Amino acid sequence: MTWRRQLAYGLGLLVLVPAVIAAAVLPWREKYEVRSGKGGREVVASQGRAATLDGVEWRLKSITEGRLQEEFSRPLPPRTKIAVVVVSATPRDARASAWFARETGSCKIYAADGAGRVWERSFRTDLAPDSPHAVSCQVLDEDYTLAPVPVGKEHTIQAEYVVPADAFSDLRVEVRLSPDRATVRLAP
Amino acid sequence: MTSSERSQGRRGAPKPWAVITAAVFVLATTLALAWPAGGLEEAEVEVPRRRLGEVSAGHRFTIVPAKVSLLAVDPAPAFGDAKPGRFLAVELRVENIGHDTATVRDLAQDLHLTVSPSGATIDRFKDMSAAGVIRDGAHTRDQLHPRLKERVLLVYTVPRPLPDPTHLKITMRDSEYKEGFDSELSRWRPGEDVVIYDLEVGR
Amino acid sequence: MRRTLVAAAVAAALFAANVAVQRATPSPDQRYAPIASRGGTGHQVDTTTFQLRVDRVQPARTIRMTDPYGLVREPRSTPGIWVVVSATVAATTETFQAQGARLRTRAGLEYEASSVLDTLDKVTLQPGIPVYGPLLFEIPARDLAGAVLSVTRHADGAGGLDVLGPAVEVDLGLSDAYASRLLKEMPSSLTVGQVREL
Repeated sequence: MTWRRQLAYGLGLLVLVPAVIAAAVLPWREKYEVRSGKGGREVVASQGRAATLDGVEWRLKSITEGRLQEEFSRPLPPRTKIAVVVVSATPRDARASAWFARETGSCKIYAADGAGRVWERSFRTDLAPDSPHAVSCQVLDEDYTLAPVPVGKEHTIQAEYVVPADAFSDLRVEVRLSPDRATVRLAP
Repeated sequence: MTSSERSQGRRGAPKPWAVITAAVFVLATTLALAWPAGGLEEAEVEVPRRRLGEVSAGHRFTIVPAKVSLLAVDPAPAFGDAKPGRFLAVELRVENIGHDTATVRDLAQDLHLTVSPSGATIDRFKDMSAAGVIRDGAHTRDQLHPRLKERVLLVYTVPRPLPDPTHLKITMRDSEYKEGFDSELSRWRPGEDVVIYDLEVGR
Repeated sequence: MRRTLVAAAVAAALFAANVAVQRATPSPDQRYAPIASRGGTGHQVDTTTFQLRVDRVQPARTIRMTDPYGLVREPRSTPGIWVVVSATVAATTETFQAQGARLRTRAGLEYEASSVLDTLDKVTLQPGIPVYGPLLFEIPARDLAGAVLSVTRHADGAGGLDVLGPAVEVDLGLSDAYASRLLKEMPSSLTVGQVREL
């Protein structure tokens, strides 16, 4: 075998090996992202500024400490605090306005800290007083059917969390949207 | 071998080595396909028929039908007071002989019911009103743990137009833990029919 | 002649190597199984998603659950024995539920945690808030010796298999002698406490 031919084989291998690995790994990447919720698009905003995704403006309105509303409520776990989070979403165009009335998909709001810990909202009803804010991204009209949010109108959502006391001062908010595979990160 | 020799060989009679290779290939392929399928013998089609109190085993469960009765009141109401109606109650002694925890629903999925005199099929999902392990005076537990013998109660409602059943035929389909077409991961999948029970319906 | 023999030997060796590789190849179930961190009782076992420590193992003939109001419920029987594994679990970064808690016996049988309310496997754990409570299993008494606790995120078998997810396996330290002593001293009824946030 001449050196020329050997070089051709070598170069062929150099191309083929990465191609085979890529063909095996790349289809898994999307599966991994869908499964783990990682990856996908991300928009970030802090200090009261808005993060815009697909025409919807997301803003962190406040993170305040809540307290148990009833005297005989089940006590909180030791060394924890209640975090009351208010987030706003404002559609800036017609498509974004209709997004609020979609029937499938989800928009989950999480509390997170700088160490990468993420908390799901609590289902307890005794963590904060009744609020004028909505509980989810979806809006129901008088007939309890899904309705779009008018362009330019601010839709506010409140969620409560029970978090370790040491995480409270460092809290931020993550809104995970599916099936859009997008995350909105909002810091105070 | 030069190219002219090769083309001559192609035109002439096949060489002995080619014939032998082809024969070995055909034989090996046939064997490789037939062996896992149970050999070249004709598959057994006869499903055994059994009666009340007789035991049958598949890959996942062994069952012994203990009692079949037609009741005018729901023997295992989910909520509140028992409602009147026509309820076919099947009591079985069951042992999970698989390797992992199963549920009464898994078992019920393997049992196909036909009632006489109408000859109609009882829908094992739609007509089922209760399914549970009989323990501590309740029928709410669902789990069947491996090697623990349980008594199980399955209750079906008899659809309205059918006459009162006098006989019940239960065909038990096997479950096998294996890979399937949808996924190469193993799980319990339906297999062949294991047994047909001919049972009298008591009152 | 000699060349033919060498060729035949090489062919046989290659064939044997082929068979060996085929045999050694892990099955799909093994390849996609959760990745287990192992440990013993009394020690914290860490995974990327959760941490678990087995604090105590007690067998019993019947159990009585304590409800969220502190009331003790009616005794629950079993055709085998109850195994009450008291453990502490904490989620590390995301919420976690120890749904796939199971006891594996020496014979390779897998017992899912019993479907009893108010046990550790029914609780959603939030990061940084550890929870202590019971995991309940029902097994034949003869299978107590050598039992291993395995905890994953999902309850189902391969259908809901947690592909390459985190898992903890704890050898419960039940030697033949220790297991038979536990069985001999086994209480006829054991009151099982509530799940507690720590």
